[in-house]
Amino acid sequence: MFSYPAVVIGLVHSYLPYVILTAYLALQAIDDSLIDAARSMGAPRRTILARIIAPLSLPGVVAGAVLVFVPVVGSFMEPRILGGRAGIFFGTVIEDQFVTVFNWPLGAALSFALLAVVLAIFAAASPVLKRAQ
Amino acid sequence: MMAMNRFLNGLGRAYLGLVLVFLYLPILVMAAMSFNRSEFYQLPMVYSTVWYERLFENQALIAAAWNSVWIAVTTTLIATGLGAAAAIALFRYTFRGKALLQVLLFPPIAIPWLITGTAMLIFFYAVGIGRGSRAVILGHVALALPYVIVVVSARLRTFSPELEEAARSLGASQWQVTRYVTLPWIASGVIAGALFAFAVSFDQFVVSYFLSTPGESTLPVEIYAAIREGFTPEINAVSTIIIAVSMTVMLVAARFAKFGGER
Repeated sequence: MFSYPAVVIGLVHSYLPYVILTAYLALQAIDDSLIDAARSMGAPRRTILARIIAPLSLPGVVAGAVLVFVPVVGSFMEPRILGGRAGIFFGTVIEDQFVTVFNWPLGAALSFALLAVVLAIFAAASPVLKRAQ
Repeated sequence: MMAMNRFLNGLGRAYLGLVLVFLYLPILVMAAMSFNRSEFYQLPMVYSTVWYERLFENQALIAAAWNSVWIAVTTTLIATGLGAAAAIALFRYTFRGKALLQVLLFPPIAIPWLITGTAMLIFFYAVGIGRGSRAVILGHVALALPYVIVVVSARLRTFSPELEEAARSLGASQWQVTRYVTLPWIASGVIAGALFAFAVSFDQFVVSYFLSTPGESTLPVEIYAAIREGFTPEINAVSTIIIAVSMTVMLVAARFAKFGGER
């Protein structure tokens, strides 16, 4: 409680379902006959996992990671409640600018910088995500 | 090989169990502690509903709860109406900028709420709306709209435009086509969209937090304020109620939207 690991555990708890859901949807989209074909030609389980399941589900896993990274990077409630004195994060700093210090221009600048980070991550992930189609 | 398979299966099951425990144990502990009489989570548990009784005497929380409910209902009505209309328009017509509009639907879902919330706060002040319930409703409608449009559009994909054309050729007016052909077909999608909108609004913390005023806050904001002042089991009690309500709404919505594949 009131430490950096507590914040991480709390955030993982909050956002784990999103990753499970996106990864599940990606796995469900894999054609089972591919796996059957590989098995009929004698591929061991490890090869099937590495050569078929992992590459085909990668877009879903990346989508899940992006989907989680984005809200977590802007979170301030979890660090505030679970972090105690260790809970100074980018999100809590922005919150302070708007709620406590009333330095809105600085808060807006910090928000905008965060938006730039988020957009950069979307741009970086988009080649992998496009393959999902 | 068989023994190996059985071992891997068992390992998978154990892992799944661990994940479920990790996800649900905190919620179960919280729900259990809301029925514990001790204020300091003493064990063994002594069953009591004292925290629920306290809850119903807490005027601030009750006012915030009613505020949450009516904001969520208003948001649902507005967002569902606008969203369903937008989805039908996107489905039926081609117009300039349509592709751009459809792409622009997704960033609001993906951008951190912290950014959306602070941006809305600054914008609402700049145009003179300021803070308060009106601002919260506007913000919630903006957040819920993309969800409604996406869900209703998904349902519309199973609808064939020939049905509309057939009705038109038989002399139905545009309004009659929408009312008697299109809407009945997408009704389940619209209901699912409405439930999502309700859940988005009711569970929304960040945007409400920046846009509400102390007298007119919503339940999550009030809970956050209470936790920062000092944790009491009353919060467990109110959170247990919220989780029960949210889960019911989500399960019903998932049933309508057929989430998570065929069964």
